[in-house]
Amino acid sequence: MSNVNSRIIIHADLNSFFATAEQQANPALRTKPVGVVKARGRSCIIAASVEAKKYGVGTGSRTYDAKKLCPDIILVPADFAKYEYISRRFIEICASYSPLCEAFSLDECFIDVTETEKFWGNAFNIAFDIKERLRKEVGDYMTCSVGISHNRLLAKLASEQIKPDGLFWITEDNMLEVLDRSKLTDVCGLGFGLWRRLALLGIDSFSDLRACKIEFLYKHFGPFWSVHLYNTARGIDESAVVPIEKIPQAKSVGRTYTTHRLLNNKLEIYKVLRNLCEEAAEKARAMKLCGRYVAFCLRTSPRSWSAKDQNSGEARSWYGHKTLARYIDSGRELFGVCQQIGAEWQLKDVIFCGVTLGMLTRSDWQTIPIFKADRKRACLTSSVDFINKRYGNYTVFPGQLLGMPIVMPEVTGFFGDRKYRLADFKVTDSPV
Amino acid sequence: MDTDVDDRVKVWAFFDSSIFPIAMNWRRRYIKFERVILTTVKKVGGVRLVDFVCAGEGANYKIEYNTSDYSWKVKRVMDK
Repeated sequence: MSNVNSRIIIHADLNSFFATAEQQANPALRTKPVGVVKARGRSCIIAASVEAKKYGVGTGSRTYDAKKLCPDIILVPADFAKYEYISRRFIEICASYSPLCEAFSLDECFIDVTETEKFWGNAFNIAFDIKERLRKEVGDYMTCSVGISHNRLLAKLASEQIKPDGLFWITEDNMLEVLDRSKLTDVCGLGFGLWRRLALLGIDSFSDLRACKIEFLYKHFGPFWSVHLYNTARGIDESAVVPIEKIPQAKSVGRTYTTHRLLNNKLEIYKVLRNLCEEAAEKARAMKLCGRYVAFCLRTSPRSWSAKDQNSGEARSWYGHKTLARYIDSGRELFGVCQQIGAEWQLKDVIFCGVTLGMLTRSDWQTIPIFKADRKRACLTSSVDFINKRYGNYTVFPGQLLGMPIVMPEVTGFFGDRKYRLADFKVTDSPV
Repeated sequence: MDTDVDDRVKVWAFFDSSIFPIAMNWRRRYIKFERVILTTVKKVGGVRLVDFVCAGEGANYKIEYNTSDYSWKVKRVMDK
């Protein structure tokens, strides 16, 4: 194992990934401001192109606001199959430089090239090679920013220094200078919640944070976050790059969905819930897992909150969970438990719905059902899975989903289900 | 202006380590591809579909190759 300070970590980040992929696929969109929406008619921009970002349009902007900021913006519906494929090609390119390659998200990879950089001369050559191969093997309009440093924290910060198509190396000499000119929220692992608490203590820069004693941080942030903040302010991060084959098994399997219109009807809400239960259960079965902890949450639109609710923070969302005596992996049972959890909830103006199956264990460790009816149902479930795998998602689906647009599985990020998405990953030469 | 179509076509392609469409015969017109702009693969059930965006003379074409029945389709015609 190499010394953590002598490591060389590369962080490669695709620039404005979804929007650039659309511009790659349709050259008429290039050099124009583009916003990617989930589907036609949806009001949230999930990715903005480099040109749109110059007008202030960003991820999460509403289309109404985006059109006000940039009247010429072109809204394009997302094509998740395309993004998933490009993402896999990008990860394949990154993984070819070292066996220690971590797919951090859909468009980001960490590569530990400490042991392999000598094959390419140095890390700069690898960075240029990644950029070149991305252009040649994926598309000439695809660009990525590359950051190099001696740990993951600084490598990620380095890749954010120059965008788009940048390359930056943070060494021990320029480390503090780069940290001091960065905002607290620029580093990975320091989110809005921590930033707000730090701001209340009068800390709004890394130099302020470095001036704090560990005892002071311990008093305000506890044992874990105090050490994390202390190290972050000094650019210390000893975490290892986790290669694709060593991604830990999922601790929970779930599916969330934000609706594009308010759901007021109980039947409509139950249909979406049934759909999400089916997806979560299908994903668990594909991973050969089953669970006995069920969590269900609903969120209502801010428009429907009363002034009292907005002040008190109550009645904005409902969250409930239940731990069962036995393990389940069928959408029907999951739906039944969710119905029990939400029996007392006010099902009105719902805008977000989520289902999680936790406390997972392997399905093949479960005993075979004793009763004939249970065996029959298990057989039916596996037959439906087989048909859907052969002919496409939701070729056969529960009758309760009839008469509604089905929420299909889609790739949104690799944080939760990397192991599932990259289960069959291998580095290949052929793109097709 | 992009136009969505779903027409079966004859495509001349070069099969090597990858697939390179060379030309197609669409609506009684011979369209020669200048270059392949993007290649992506998706799976619909057990069927692998390879999507190509190819630059033609007057427009860009999105064509789809079905690897199970070896058929080609034009899916979209896009402005250049």
